Amino acid sequence: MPTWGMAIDLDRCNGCEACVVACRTENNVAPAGPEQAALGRTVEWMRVERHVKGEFPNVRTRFVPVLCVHCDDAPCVSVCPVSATYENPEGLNAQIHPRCIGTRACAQACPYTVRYFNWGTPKWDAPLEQTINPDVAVRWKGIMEKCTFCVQRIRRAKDNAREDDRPIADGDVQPACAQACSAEAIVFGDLDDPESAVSKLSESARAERPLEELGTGPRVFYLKEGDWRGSVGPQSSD
Amino acid sequence: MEALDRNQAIEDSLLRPVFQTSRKLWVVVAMLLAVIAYGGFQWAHQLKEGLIVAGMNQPVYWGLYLTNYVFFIGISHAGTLISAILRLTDAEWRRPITRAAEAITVFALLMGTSNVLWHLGRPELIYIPMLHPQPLSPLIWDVACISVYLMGSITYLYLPLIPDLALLRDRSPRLRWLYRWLSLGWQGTPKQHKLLDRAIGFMAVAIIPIAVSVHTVVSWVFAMTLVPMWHSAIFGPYFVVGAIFSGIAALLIAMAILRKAFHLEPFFRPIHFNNLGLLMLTMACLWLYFTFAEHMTVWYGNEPDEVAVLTSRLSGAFSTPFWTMITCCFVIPLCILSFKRTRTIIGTVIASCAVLIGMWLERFIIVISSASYPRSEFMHDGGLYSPALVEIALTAAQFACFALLYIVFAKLFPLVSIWEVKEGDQTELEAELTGTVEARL
Amino acid sequence: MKRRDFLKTTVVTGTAGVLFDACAPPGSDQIIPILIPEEEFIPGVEEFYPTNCVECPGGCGLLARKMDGRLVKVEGNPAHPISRGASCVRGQALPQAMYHPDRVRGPLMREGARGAGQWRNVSWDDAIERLVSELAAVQEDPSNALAFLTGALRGHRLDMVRRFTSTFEATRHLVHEPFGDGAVLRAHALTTGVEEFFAYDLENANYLVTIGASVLDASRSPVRFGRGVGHLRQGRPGRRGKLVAVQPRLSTTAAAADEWLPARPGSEASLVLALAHVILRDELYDTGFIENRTSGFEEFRARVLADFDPELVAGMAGVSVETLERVATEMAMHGPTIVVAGDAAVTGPTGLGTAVAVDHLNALLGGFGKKGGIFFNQDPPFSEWPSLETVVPAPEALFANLTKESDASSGIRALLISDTNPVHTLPSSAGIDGFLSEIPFVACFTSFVDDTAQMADLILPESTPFERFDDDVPSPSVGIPVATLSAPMFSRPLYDTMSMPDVLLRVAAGLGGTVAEAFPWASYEEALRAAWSGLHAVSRGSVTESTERRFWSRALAAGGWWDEDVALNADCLTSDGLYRFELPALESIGLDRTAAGDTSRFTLYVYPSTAFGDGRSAHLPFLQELADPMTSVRWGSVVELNASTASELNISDGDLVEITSDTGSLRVRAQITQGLRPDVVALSAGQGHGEYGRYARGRGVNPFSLLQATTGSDLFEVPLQATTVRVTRIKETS
Repeated sequence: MPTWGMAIDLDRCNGCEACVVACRTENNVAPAGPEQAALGRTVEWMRVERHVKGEFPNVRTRFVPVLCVHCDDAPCVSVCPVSATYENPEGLNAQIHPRCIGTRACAQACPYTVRYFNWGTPKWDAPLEQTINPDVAVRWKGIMEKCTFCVQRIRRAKDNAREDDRPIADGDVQPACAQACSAEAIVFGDLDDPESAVSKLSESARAERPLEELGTGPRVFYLKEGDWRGSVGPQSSD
Repeated sequence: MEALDRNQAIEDSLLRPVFQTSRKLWVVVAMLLAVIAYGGFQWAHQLKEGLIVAGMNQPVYWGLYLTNYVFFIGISHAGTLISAILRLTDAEWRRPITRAAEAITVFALLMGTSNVLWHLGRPELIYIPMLHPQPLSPLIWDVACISVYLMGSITYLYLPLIPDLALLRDRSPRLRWLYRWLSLGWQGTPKQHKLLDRAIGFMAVAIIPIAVSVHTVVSWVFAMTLVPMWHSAIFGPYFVVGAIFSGIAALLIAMAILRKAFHLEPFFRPIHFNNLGLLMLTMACLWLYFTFAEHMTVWYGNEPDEVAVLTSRLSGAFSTPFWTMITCCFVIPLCILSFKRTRTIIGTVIASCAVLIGMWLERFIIVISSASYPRSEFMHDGGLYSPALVEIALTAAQFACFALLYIVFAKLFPLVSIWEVKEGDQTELEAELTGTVEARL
Repeated sequence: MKRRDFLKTTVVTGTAGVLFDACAPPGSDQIIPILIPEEEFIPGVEEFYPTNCVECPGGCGLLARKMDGRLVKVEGNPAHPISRGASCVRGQALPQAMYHPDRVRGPLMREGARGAGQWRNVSWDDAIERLVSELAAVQEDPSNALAFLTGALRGHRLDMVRRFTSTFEATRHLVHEPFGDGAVLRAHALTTGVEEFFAYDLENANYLVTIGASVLDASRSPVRFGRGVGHLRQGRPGRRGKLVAVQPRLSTTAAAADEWLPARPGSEASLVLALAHVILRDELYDTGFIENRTSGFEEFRARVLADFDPELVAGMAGVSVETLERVATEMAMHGPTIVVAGDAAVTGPTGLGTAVAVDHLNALLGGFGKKGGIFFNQDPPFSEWPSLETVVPAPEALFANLTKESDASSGIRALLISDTNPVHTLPSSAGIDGFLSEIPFVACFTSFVDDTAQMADLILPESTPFERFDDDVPSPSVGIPVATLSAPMFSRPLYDTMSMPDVLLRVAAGLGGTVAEAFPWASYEEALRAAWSGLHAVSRGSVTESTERRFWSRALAAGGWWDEDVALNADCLTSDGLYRFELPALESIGLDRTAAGDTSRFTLYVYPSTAFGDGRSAHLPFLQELADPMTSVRWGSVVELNASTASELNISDGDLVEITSDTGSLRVRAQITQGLRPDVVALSAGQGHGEYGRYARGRGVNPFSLLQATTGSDLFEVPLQATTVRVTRIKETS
């Protein structure tokens, strides 16, 4: 049974946000519109944060794609009064939409602020609803939603593998964000498979797990930016 | 003869508010109903459109509804806690105020829990936590404790009401059938009194740990998360202290209003306000102690995520409500309640108003300031939280409904426990009081 | 999706759109599409159809995912050499373009005054009739000219336009591409004889310097550059490349870079030559390349050593001498190095000089033709269409035309517009409104009524790339011949639309005579197929088949044709085959050009938006909702001000300010940043549409309205960093 995980290489990421829109299109996340966005109601399962340090002209910027890290010991799972979120056997932090009653305790408890609430009913101006991906449920008002590691793609890959009578190979499952990324910064796969690309990256000296010290057990880890010290000699790369 | 006359006088003055209703009261009721109706209309709007009409956003998912939830649950402590403790310590001066206090508890609990309906994304599914509870969730502990507390409080309100219900059964010009049914055939026999005393005594003991558990568990909804300045070991006792503190203030204000409105001056006397004022002063000091400890450890520890919240309170976006809270919760009560000269009825009422404002702000600050500065370096889109009309309307409606429930109660049942007052009697009361006060001072 | 899966699904399902040889009706020469009609979809079965993206010059090959008869997702085509399976924000938002509520659903004819926005629905027959009659009027009178105004088209769409215009005696082809980097093309032509964008072997390079070009967000080919830089960074164990960005503003490219050199706008050429100075002075250049493959080196060296000492340039450019010395040495010592120029830096009076200087710097470093360096595009070997004895009008930059003294619109009787929006992306001071008003008949091919279409007499609704046949030759490319091909993924267009080339064919048929003879095809698909037969004939590359019919269906299924086995080359096409160290173009970049003037005025820097580009993607709600990577703005615009500048002007973050140039003013909220020169004020292009659908209409501000149209025929595009503005805070009464 695989344990799904993801590596995001911050040295490759250039902040283009293709992952953001890819996720939105794949998972039927409706835009909030100008008024609601101004009130801070945008739902963005994947968002790119920009952390800037320094003063002109010595400015250092870091782009960090932020998504649900599918914690091994998730604060959101503990606080949900109705078990609407739980950790499934493959390590995914799953959200059960029909069970959710909208207390938003999970959202407050999440230290990554990656859970999103449907304040109103998601709106599609006709005929934009034609772009809705039938593989993913459309949510309704009053419930929480968040990144699922594109569970619909995991399912499809499993179905294909079963049809072909073979195990899932590394790279069979590509969440929308990983697929769109031109810099190949997002790598997804089975952390339990030592040969998988994501497992190998997890051993990198540059790897760090966000807010790991809180004991959440995140399954997304970031690879820190490298240094350039001339092409002669060792580099900060893997 | 004299005692009988006095008893009659007590009965008459305490039953008058039940039997007679002034025109002014109808006006007040009409106004309260209007506020409640507007709140209802706003809630219907929110049910239709969703919480999008409220002011919460990312990352402030919790707003005024939860603030009011904690606030009202907090107020509910005074009632039962005060009357239970005062009963157990045999403080005679408690006799006229116990029922008013116990009524506050029940109605505050009802108003507090009503916020869950306004707050939920899908309130129609409020039964799901009963069907599929997740036992590790502090919200489920909340459900459990508050249910027990509500039932306990209703019981604790009802039991001492029985003898007065019997009185009403005998003397009321209307609703006799109700009083007959509720009074359970009370005849005032020594055997029944003994049973009642035992039951009340049991409840008085049982209700205290339940009450403590309730607000501790309410605090754990916050403290069990890892949110900066929520995740604190002292939240349990801090919230309980705050609850009792705000509860006494609410009780004082209620007493002052009832005293004027129903001419209960002989029963709610300066000595009551004085003693409750002293209790409130004690709680103010205790509250400041906890607040100081909470903020001092954060400042000293210098952990960046927590310092961000602290700074917002001390000098940032929340500095105005924060320092107002300190002023209202500590400075004003300290100045007024420290001196006997100012510890009058008016003085204590002013102090109580300040305390209620301050304590409401305290809940607001705790909920909103931590939510506004999450641990992740979240980039705010919409600025900080700002309450919307529907939230303000429902807040006003809750206060109005609380008042209305109180008025309805006052119209159905005497707000002062007639049989207990008769039992204590005025002269014994005064002797006891002077003795107690002198003993303390 | 991986290549293996792509092939599996397209062979099984995607080619449902095409008939194989074995199943063709006997004697038929046509491909009969057997796309499953949308109503008869099989639930749960996904199909992928290749298409090409036209949102930016990158030209990515894409795969469109069809589920339940609808377009639900777009991915990169894993086999396509440009996209290699990846995509960008704008490509990902494309399904919204297909099903946009404000798409033009049928031909529209103007009612009322021009620009009033009142339209009457007409049939295609009526529209074609009107077009034919107007163009017939052009033919009748030799003083009447036809003008075709387009963006920077490529592939056979461009060939159709050129062919069509050439059949008229008096005819002009005007081009308007606001971020088209025209100066770069001109520079390449001067130095190498190749008037095309270069291909860069980023994957093997070690050092990449960009002069002005936001190569990772919105310029030229973000997906290809994203992949190349990603690989340069962390794709080779033990080696990590460096990216240096020279821009006045911290774009996402500069933010992702290892080093940001905030050079003063207009000083870029001098800065590049200062770097060259160091390399020349310390003799770090590639002597082999210089001696054997170039001409004019000595004069160039003398000039640079004399005039572009870093000591002289540093102060003017705002970059320290140490930095210039260090970066130049790093470039020479830690190659392979590639230098790229683009965006605002190659516009305005110093634009051409900058582009030429960058070419020279690349030559010094010997990058041409070497691994990790620069190669030239190779055209796919299409078959030529039947040749005509007509003269194809040379493309003229619209902006240069408008700013000439003479009356730009004189003689134009009919104007056809396609793939460009000059009313939005030209300064009003350039006179675009006057230009249009002088022309008796204006027709616009477009899927949406945008600012320019609003001023037309006739709107011809264009099918989206998902609904039409089209091809593309991406440029910049990757050094091998690449041709993208797309076919409709639906059995019929969503609305009553036609692709522009097909409309031209019908108009040609309607005009008859020599025009009709020039277009001997019944459909654009036929024309394309005729051209693509050449790719079949060479029997090499990614698609080889025995018959042309099989080739065509396989090419459609694969999304194009490319040949990865072709040797890369950087053979100059100058008369002597040598790289020319062109000097005259450098005359315009005197060191005193950018002397500080009035300190109360700031240079306005206009850059393409990550989400909207030049504005053509602003109509998509997903992109409006996107937080801009550097400003985090959604659904609006901000003007960026340097923090110290803002405090001097007493402006706080979020204040409303007025930006005034000599030719216009606008009001917008300010955002304080550390990522901007103090003497520069930055506005993103893309917003401020007067008309472009409900999501873009009236939203944000358009910086083009502020830009000055400097006269001069050597300018290709609007100068994007040559306008100075004043900034004042507006007190708001609230």
